[in-house]
Amino acid sequence: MKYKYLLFLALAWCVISCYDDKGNYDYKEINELKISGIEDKVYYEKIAFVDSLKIYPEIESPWYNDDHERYQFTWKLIPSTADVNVDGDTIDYVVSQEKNLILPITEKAGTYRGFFIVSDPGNGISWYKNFYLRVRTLTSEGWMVLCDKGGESRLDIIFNVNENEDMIAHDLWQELNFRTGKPIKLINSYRTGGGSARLFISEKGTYNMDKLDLHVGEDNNLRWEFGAQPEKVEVRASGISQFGSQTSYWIVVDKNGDAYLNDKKIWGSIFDFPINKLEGKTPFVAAPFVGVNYVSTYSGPSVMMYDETNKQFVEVIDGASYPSVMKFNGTQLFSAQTGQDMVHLESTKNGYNYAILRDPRTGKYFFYGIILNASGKNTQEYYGEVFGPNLDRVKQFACHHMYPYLFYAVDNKVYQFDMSHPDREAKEVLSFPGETIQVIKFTAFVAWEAYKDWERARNYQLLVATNVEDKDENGCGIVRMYDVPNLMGDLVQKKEHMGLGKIVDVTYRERDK
Amino acid sequence: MRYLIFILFLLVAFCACEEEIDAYAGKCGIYFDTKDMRLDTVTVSWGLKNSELKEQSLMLKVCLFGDVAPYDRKFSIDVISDLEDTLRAIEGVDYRPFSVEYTLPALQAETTINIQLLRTEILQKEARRFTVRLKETSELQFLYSRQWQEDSVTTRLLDIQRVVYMDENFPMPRWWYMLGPSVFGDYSVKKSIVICDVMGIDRETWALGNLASDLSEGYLKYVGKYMHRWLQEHPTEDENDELMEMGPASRN
Repeated sequence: MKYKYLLFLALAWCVISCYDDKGNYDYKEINELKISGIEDKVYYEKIAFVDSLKIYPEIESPWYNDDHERYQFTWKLIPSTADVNVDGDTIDYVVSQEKNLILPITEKAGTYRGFFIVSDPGNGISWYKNFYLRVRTLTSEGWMVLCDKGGESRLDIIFNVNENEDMIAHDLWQELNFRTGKPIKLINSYRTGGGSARLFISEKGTYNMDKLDLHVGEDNNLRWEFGAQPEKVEVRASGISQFGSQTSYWIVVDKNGDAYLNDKKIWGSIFDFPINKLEGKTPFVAAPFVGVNYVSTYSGPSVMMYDETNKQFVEVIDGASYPSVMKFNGTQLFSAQTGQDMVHLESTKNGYNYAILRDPRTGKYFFYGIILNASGKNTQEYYGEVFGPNLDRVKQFACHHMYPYLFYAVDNKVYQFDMSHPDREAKEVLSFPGETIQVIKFTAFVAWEAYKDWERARNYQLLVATNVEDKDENGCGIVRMYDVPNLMGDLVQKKEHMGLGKIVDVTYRERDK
Repeated sequence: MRYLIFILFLLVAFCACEEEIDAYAGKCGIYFDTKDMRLDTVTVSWGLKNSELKEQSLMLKVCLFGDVAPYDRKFSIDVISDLEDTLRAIEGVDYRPFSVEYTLPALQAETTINIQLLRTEILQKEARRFTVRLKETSELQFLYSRQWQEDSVTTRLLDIQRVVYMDENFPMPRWWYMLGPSVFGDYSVKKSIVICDVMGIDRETWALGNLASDLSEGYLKYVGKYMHRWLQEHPTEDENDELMEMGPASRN
């Protein structure tokens, strides 16, 4: 009997095992949508309130060809700084629901990640293509031109749209309900890790201009960043160390020669007590200069200062609280104790700090080229006397950020001196009859940004700002930019901007991330 | 027979839908609010209040158990300071005299007992306490309270009384382990109080704040340096009778 059951089961198994699966596998191509016409490798560059972002995408569908009616479209712009955990990918980022994007840019300055999303409501499937957008505004970057407007301050902006085009904003603070007082100086201290300082200094104090619209007011008075909150902070120099392994020192020197330190790596840090004491013991008067290193190859470079009392170079070593006499490694061209007065210090893009000192006994000027490095490993690169005409009446110095060229301004003339050939006298390179030179300077573009070639080239262009004599102060300012060829070649004027206010100072505000 | 079973099933089904909701129709009671209470003691840490503050209000909420009534209901309390208690508070010295008669207003389910507490010098050395105990009435009885098993025999109702305990306790901030020793040196309550008083820092912010929002590391480091300089000009004894000192990071 049992065998009958077993036989039956075996037969049933055999029958089932022979079953051939002849299912209907009618393979069909899925609707793999292709989106083109959107640039996803480079940034779309736009200027807020000036430009529109226009993108006309093409859609190819193996099922529906160019039947776009069946799809829904969504364009999103998400700031690259958005915290996805906080802000999320919300509907607030939707900027259009049309197929073609025509968007007048009103976004804040910064970079954005964009998405073009195509949805098929019939089956719930979506496809997307992403792209990148950089929005600039007339205040997010540009040459800030500080002008004197009848004893009050005026800010003009020269905004480089591209290599050849510029836009100028006149009197940005016109509507500002704040009396700034007489303008003195502008300092842009960039910090790669965020927290850059855009200092405007007037007779009323020092203000860290607003990151978005560059306004100044009591809300951004620098005194709030001091523990003691003095009535007025009169900064004369500022520098932020970029690559400290332990610290990120923001050091300012005030009108009285007191230096203050704010370690930007510490959350909520403020300026506390003067640090112009040698190793925390012997007080000295700090010269109004702060030198930093903009080249990242050196770990924890010192911040450079100058001890006006003892006439010597001093450094704040990464991690130290107070300056100490500067130490050097390798070839000794000069002593840290110079016995001279510092008149200029320039931190260049290529990692040098050029100090120009004047001997008080002879009135002669000397140049010192230094590379700041970690403790005791600073090196001396250049040293010598500056030879050239009219040095007894020199008003300003500027050092090129690639070549060892020193420029100086006297009256309405600019002279160029080659520090690598100090035996050769400086030559006159520019002359501005009927104008007074107010500023000559080079600017280090130090932000970790994918600058275009023409943007990067500005590191090496000489800026000369003049005021036309006997002209109304509302339009007497001129800013010119010059390319500086090697081999002491003739300067080539790149740009000229006229009609600015009566210039006091010019500096570049680099864009933030 | 089949029909009978079917009818029976239908009846059961219908009856199952009937819901009986009984509204409370019993007696009423009073008890002290239990929110944030572990036992029956309300601790008042004067140490967290700035030195200038010498008086503060304590509101004890009395809750109703049962239905609200369309009329006011009175109840009273006892204020007890045990003569044998070495920490006993004294009326007029440690707290202002306050009423022992209260009313649970019509259509209200709670009322408050407001006590004005006074800060005295003695609190620097030892705490003070007194008890506020509800008294049962025929209308407002002790119907609800958490209980505390004192021992195997005695059980005590926790929520018919509140022990008001006052001290100058100043807890060590949570951030102290991170910054305190290097910036401020050894911890002491007196040092914390001096720092808060000199710098104008709210004590609750100091003791209970955190470094991410209320205080910042940068500011505290400034405080350390400022206090170091201040102590050079104003030598101050710490609790251990030695001169108060800031931590090594602040001594420059």
